[in-house]
Amino acid sequence: MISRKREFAYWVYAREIRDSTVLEENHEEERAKPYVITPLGSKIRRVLITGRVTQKNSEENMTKMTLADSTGNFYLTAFSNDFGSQGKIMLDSLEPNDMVMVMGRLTTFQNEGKIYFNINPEIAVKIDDTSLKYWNLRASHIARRKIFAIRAALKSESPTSEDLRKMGYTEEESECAVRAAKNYPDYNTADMESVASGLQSPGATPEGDTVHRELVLDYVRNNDEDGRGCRYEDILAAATNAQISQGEVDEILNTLGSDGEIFEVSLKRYKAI
Amino acid sequence: MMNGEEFPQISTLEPGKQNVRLKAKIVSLQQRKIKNEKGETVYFYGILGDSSGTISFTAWAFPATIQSGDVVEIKNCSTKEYNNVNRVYIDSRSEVVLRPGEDLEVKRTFRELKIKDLSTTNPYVSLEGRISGVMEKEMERDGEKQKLYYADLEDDTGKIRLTSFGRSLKEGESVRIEGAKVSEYNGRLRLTINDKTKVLSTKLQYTITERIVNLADIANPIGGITVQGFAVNLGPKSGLVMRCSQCNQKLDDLRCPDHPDAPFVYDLFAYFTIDDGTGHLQCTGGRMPLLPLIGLSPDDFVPSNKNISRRGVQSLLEEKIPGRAFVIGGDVIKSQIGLSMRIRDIRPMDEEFLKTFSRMLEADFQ
Repeated sequence: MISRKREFAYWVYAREIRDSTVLEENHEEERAKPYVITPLGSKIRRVLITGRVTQKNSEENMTKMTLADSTGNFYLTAFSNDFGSQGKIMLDSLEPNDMVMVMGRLTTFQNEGKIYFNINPEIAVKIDDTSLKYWNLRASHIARRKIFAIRAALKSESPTSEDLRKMGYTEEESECAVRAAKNYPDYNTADMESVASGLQSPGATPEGDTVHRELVLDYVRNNDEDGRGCRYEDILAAATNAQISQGEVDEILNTLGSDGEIFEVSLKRYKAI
Repeated sequence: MMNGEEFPQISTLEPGKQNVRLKAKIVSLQQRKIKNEKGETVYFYGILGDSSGTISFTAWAFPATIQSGDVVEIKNCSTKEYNNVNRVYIDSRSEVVLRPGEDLEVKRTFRELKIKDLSTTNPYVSLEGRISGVMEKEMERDGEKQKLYYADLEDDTGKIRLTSFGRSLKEGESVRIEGAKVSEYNGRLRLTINDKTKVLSTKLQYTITERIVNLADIANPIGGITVQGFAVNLGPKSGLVMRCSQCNQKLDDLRCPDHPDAPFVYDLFAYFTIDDGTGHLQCTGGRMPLLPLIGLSPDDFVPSNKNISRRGVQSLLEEKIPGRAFVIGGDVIKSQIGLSMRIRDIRPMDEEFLKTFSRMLEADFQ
């Protein structure tokens, strides 16, 4: 039997997935799902993520769940068929507000030119604060190194993986940077770096009020999923993931309102101006 | 510089050359099978040497009659850099011809390496490290009694088993070793020194602390390292194992076929994959590191304890391993499935480790 190479599981923030607009079909495997090429150049079919459960909808044949990290939402679906039943059992054991680690397959579907992302969990387990901090440390380090490699790649007219490797980047980082430079030459990496840098410290605590304020504002700007405003629960979950207390979130929301950055469109729903 | 028959000397070979003609001694010759989608392929690799130095080679075909120690003429080979090292490549266009009766003096050249970079591809090396765990044994060689010393040699990147024929090793001494040989035994690398190897006392320019390694950086079997990551599964054959108390054989039944009267004892085995965001690695562990993880003491883990069952142990492993973040110390070994880690100690991720880990990651951006 020919052994198959294990599909790499990418540690990514929700925002890296959400900002992705490029799919790459896999021609080597029949009926294989496409890879998602993210703005940081990751070529993804499997992810390993963490976040807080903000919504859960469990039915007999299917469980849907929303998971929020400090940058946005992940959407999870597990079915009670032969392939997904274990994932469904795991999702069913979790409750809103639980902090979890999920490894799963990233699937996509397109509607009117927009790509929607969904994760079919293979493993979903409740984790503690220390494990979350560990994930944040590693994920932010990965994202920052990729961002630096992308900037180095963008300085060259025709960047190659070999050139970047000579500069000290790993094979994976170099290949990601070349893919990112090719597919997302105009992507603004500064926002992603700001988020990743804020989560680099061991306490996963962004230092200073400004960073917290920017995180909350950024979240409100980017997570108005249904056009009715960003939900307070989602903001709170994202902020908690970034180790920001509820009291501080309330204070930041008030300040952002007074500063004219956001407004409360309906009860506990916020829109950026 | 060319020698009498206009062959280039090995030390003058530059990378990126085609149609190279060489005369060299086969210093070492090994073969390896690789499996891929196209089936099974065998390739050969080893070291060529002459009076100017040595160079590694890879051959996709090699005459079966030629052995290590033979002097050969190689026509139409090429040179190319791989992992920053120049190598000779012998392919289907090349010709390897035996030069019967000839001998060549070979000048040994040793690469200066850290323990994490050791591999059998470059078997002759120089390195530095600290000696620990010295044991000695007497053996007979060519009718003469000789002392054999075993120890661990460690630097700031890893640990390796060191074997010395005749030359004594001093516990705790920091040494510089020139001309040791790397070989592989039972999936682990080991280093051998003999009377031609130089061993000099030295002062290490670094402190040996916990060697935290990213999974993506593990390319060879390397001992004494610490890895971290989320366990993303648990092998289905993990669980309670029964063994014969006399011969330690694993029992499928409650009786050992060789020692039916001997009582059985409990052992524990688990295997799982960890993922640290840079890569993944299979880890296997036994009773010593795993019992504390599942909250059992050696005194509890005995057949007379009726609270211990296969199902109970399986549940504990399922509860304590998949999805959890761990810090794992151990040795990486090589087997048919590739590289895997033998766990020496395992602990859930903790704040103290995170502080060290954070400093390590942040150092990348300074």
